[in-house]
Amino acid sequence: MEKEILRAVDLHTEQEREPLLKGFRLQVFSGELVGLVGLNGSGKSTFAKVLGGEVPLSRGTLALEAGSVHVIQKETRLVSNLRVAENLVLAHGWKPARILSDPGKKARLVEALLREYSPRVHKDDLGGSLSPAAQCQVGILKAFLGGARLIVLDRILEYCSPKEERELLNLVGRLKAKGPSFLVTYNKVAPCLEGFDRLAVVREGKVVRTLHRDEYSPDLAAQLMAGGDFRRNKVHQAPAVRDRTGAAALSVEGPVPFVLGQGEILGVHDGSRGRAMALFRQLLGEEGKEHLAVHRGIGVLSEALFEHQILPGWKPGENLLLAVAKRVSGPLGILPGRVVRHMARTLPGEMGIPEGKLDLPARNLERDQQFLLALRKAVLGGAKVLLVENPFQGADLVTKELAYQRLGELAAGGMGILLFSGDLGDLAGFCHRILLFQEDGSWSIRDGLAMGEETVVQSIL
Amino acid sequence: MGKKNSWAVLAILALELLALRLLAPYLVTGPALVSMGRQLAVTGVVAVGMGIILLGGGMDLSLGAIVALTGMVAAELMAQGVPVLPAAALCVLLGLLLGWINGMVTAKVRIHPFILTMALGVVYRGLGKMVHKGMPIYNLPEALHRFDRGTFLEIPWTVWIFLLCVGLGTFLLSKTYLGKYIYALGADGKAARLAGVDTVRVQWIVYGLGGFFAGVASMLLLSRVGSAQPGAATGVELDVLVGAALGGVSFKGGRGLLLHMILGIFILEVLGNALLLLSVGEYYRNLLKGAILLGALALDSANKEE
Repeated sequence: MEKEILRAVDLHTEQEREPLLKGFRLQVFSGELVGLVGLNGSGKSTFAKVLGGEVPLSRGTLALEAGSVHVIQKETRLVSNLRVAENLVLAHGWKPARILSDPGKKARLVEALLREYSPRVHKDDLGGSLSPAAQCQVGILKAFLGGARLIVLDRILEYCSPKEERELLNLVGRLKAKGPSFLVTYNKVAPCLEGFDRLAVVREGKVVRTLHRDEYSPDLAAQLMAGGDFRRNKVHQAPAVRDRTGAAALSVEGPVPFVLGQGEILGVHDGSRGRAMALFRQLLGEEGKEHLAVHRGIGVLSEALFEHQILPGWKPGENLLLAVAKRVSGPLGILPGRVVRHMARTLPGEMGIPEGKLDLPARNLERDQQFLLALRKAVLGGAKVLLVENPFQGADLVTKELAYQRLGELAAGGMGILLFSGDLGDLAGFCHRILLFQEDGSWSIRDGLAMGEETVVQSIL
Repeated sequence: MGKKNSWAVLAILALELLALRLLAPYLVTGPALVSMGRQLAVTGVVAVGMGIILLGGGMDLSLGAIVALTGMVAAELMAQGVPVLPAAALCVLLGLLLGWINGMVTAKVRIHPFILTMALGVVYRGLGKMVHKGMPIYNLPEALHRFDRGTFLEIPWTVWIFLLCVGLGTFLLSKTYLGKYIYALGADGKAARLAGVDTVRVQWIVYGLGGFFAGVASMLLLSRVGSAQPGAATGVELDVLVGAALGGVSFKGGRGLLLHMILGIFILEVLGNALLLLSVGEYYRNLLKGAILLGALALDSANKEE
């Protein structure tokens, strides 16, 4: 019989008097791969933080063996100036007797482990030089070496490219066979979920249903996650381009020249993301001088920069006011009271931000509301062109729908949009054109609306 | 956080005044409080500049040295026969220039402003000593003394200037776009740039204002002391920083109110007077000041997510 590794019964947590987990229940058995799926804010990461000891419980029972759980979060990183092998050795502890009895044993063990499970990572690479996904792989090996019985991957898959996701789940599958269980949080419905032993769907702080492998269907999972009669739209049609022959919204020169029309959505995809990000940086301008891009009418909405898109300690209205402050100021730079009042209450209210959250810092907003706030801020800043980088990464399925909808509306209004994504499937069928970077260094621009699922697969291959 | 902090700062001040009232009733009367305001005018005006810098995410440990240098230059000009007003105006502008240099250096050199401005402070102290070969300058014009003794509505001009500086700083920070930019720079420079703010320029302005207020403070000090000393205002930064910590102005920038910082300095002044009455020696007073700063910093660190 499978051994119980974790039992959570009727867990309750609170933050700033607001309940986060409300009667959360979950069991995990040895050698299981369990998915904890739900929208952002549903309580998945709070549970992971409870397991990591970051969030205290206000009520409930959590049964697990001390030291048996290892939580890896999106922000978890290796020690940057230590080599991968040294990072892994850290997991083993330091026992002089063991070193004296068999010097070099640890190093051999680490080397063998890397060769077996993560051949693309070299033992002498510096921790800080690895991509976040590779750091996560090493983090998993580190937990395995440290004897973890349950390894929790919190919000890791959301930030991986499809290729990185495959590699990571392959590693998880192979290690699972050696004993540890895995609990993986995810906020979307994706093909990778089919490979999980069980999916616990979380909504409003509790597990609303557990789906076994044979019960899983994407539509059922989506409905359970979002509640009500939520329907996923497979293809999001881009609005008709306003004026393809008219003035360009943006002309780009250099190694990859192209023209972005007004009202056009141009997707940019690069499997390894290196060149797409280089283009993104080129358009955004030199580090420390990003304000110049804003003054040229380029607005930015970027996953990589998301923590800087809004000031989380400021109220929503103050964030909006910052974008227009100089433009609306009167003589001596004085802010007109009516504008301040409009930005503080009326505009955020029109955007759908609840009355109760208008006077709270923006960090209290849900992710989709933060997305809307950042987007509105960029538009208020006078953007004629939007650089949108991976808006769907880290976004749950409801926010993703919302993002498509809002970007479509902005394009219909004449805004030129450059949409960068590491997942070609996010762009195909939505963007008017797609700039594709191939692995051999070449690039091409394709018709995005005509690009179906088969073309996507071919393009990737 | 504004309202909660306001009440906390006011409550501490009220408690202190109450205790002082019990200890020495004659020290909590209108004229005594006005006299206290006069004593802390110099520190208070420096605090206005430091407050703006702290809220913008910076730190300037050369403000005391700027007070000394501008004071020495002004006194030298006056000794050479330049009338008081032009000499004072020139020295306030010199303060602005020195502050602007601080801002430029901290924006360009990626070293913590704490270290950079400390080094610049040493330079300014050295320059201050060079003005009159390390000697103080006495025999300043009578107009300066008259200004120090002068009152309006029974309140000394020095206090009016102090209140004007506090008003100007508060207005700038709360009612103008530049104020928003300063808070944004302090909270997150990158976020500010992505909102279109030229953070380097704002940093220059912030440090420039710090120097400007230090220049104003040096003129108040000249009029009060009646002489210019190259070692003047040594350690004023510590008093100002303790006031900031007491007033809840974050040393990480972007959080707090200038008015709270000024109240914090007032609290410190009242405490100083009370300790003096209790015959607590200077060493112990400094020890207490350091302990208050440490405690307030620990609170600031604990409340960073508030």
